[in-house]
Amino acid sequence: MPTESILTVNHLTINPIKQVENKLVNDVSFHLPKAKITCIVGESGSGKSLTALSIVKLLSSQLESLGEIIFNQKKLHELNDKQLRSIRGSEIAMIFQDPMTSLNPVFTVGYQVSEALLAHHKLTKNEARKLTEKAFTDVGIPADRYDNYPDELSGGQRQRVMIAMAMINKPKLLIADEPTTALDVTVQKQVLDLINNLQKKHQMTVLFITHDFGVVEDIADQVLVMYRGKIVEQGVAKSIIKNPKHPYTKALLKCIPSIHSKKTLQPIDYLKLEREMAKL
Amino acid sequence: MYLSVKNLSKTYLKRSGFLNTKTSAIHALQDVSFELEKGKCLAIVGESGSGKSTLAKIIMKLLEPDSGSIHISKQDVLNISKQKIKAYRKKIQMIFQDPFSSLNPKFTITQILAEPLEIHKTGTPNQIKAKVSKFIKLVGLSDEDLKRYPHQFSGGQRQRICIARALIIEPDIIVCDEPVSALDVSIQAQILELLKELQKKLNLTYLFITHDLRVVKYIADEMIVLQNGNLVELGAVNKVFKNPKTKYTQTLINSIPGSI
Ligand SMILES: Nc1ncnc2c1ncn2[C@@H]1O[C@H](COP(=O)(O)OP(=O)(O)OP(=O)(O)O)[C@@H](O)[C@H]1O
Ligand SMILES: Nc1ncnc2c1ncn2[C@@H]1O[C@H](COP(=O)(O)OP(=O)(O)OP(=O)(O)O)[C@@H](O)[C@H]1O
Ligand SMILES: [Mg+2]
Ligand SMILES: [Mg+2]
Repeated sequence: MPTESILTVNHLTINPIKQVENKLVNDVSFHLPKAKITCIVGESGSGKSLTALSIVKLLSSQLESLGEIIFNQKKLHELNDKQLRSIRGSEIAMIFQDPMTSLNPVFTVGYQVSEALLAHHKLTKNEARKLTEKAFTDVGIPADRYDNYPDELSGGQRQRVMIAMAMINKPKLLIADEPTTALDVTVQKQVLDLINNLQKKHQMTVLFITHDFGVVEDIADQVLVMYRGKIVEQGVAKSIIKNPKHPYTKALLKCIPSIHSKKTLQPIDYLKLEREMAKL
Repeated sequence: MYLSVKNLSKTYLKRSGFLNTKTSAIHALQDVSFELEKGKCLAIVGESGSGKSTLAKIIMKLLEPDSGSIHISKQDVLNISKQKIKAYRKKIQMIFQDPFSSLNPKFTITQILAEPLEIHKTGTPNQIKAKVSKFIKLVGLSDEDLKRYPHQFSGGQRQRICIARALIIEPDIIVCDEPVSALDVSIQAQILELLKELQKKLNLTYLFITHDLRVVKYIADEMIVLQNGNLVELGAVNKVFKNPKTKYTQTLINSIPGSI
């Protein structure tokens, strides 16, 4: 049964300004089914973060993009900055790949998260603090860390502050760029469970960028595999893991370190890969 | 013993509450001791906030402990004289957990990689140029990338630039704080292979912070597990995996994501 889609990306292409031949993202199209988790996997530099950033129009000013982005019938690519700002952080929230640069070092983490809440809700300072403390404990950070500055937290704690900040307005669409890379499996599980719960309770849709096929296996409904700016394979997560069709996906699944052996890892042999792809 | 850490403790004090009247203490490290032979890799494992980066920063002399001692080939690290500190900084390099804030945004990649070589005066401009070109390729990037700036790279690419910068002055010890967790498995495989190869070739010693037990199994000889600043597990990787002493280690082993 086809599900309703909340976000549609059509023919997205991204290149540095005035370098149309240098396509960093090349004619990418996909749908995000409502209330489902979609994972983007793919090699480093394949265009995952740029794709995510262009959905909320936060690409660097050195880059330009072409294509359609439709969110809940709204054409995001046609909105102005003010209209976009009211959507960002409330209807669409994003967790960025670099937690330190997206937190302001001169404000406490509690202040920053409560400000995100106050930007979209009428609440007293006290109510905002209570809700923020609750959001912290949800991601496993003790409430008394509210008054800490970002550099007084560990790497994983900062990453969780970002997660708390993104989730606090209960967005309809959550875009998370490698949100759990600094977390050990136990905390990662807690965060994934939290995302899963919110997703069920509020019909949240999630676009989750990861390079960890283990995570994909655990949470994804749908998966998009990117290679050199293109989506080379997409479909139901379970069947792609079980039965990858594209040579890149196959190679990717082969180079995961295993707990069961100390086998030599097999970095992808790109020459061989290109040869196989030429045959497709 | 090559590296020996004894009774290391560190507490962060924090004033908080109304008018800063409350003081709270975070015991980031409590009486931590371990040893490591030259040329080996020690994995430092532990949940988020358990004190791993604190330990790394103390060994790097970026942070003072409250008590304890560190010796590296008999040198008393915490009491190094001013004249010897530069030599120490060449001997030991760190790959930071947060690659984004550790790269100077105003420098091109060439400048970033050449800087440590120039500081430590390790060759002629031509030799430095050749070395920069060699190391950028070792981490899977190209000469083309050298003239670009950090913000023009993806997350994983920036992490690889940090790795190249740490390796380029050929230190004896490398402290890696989650060096591969932001990388996709293919690059991870490539970097881990590279680290292993260099270890053999140059007899490097690694302190390797990671939360991924698959990586521990792959690269480390010995491991320690920290929990709330306490060392709760210590031993050869195979032994700890077979026979974990604490429930936390057991949980870590059991909850590796996916089954692949
Ligand atoms: N401002 C820029 N100017 C030129 N090239 C850029 C710029 N920003 C990114 N790129 C390039 O675009 C490509 C895609 O980058 P992107 O950040 O989307 O990769 P990614 O798939 O998220 O990788 P990673 O897993 O390493 O984070 C990379 O090759 C990167 O070097
Ligand atoms: N400057 C500081 N001031 C106050 N507390 C701090 C400071 N730096 C670290 N801490 C606290 O000390 C504890 C240990 O932090 P550390 O950064 O060593 O953890 P970690 O094991 O590296 O965690 P992660 O895996 O999340 O990076 C944490 O609770 C952290 O919040
Ligand atoms: Mg990225
Ligand atoms: Mg850390």
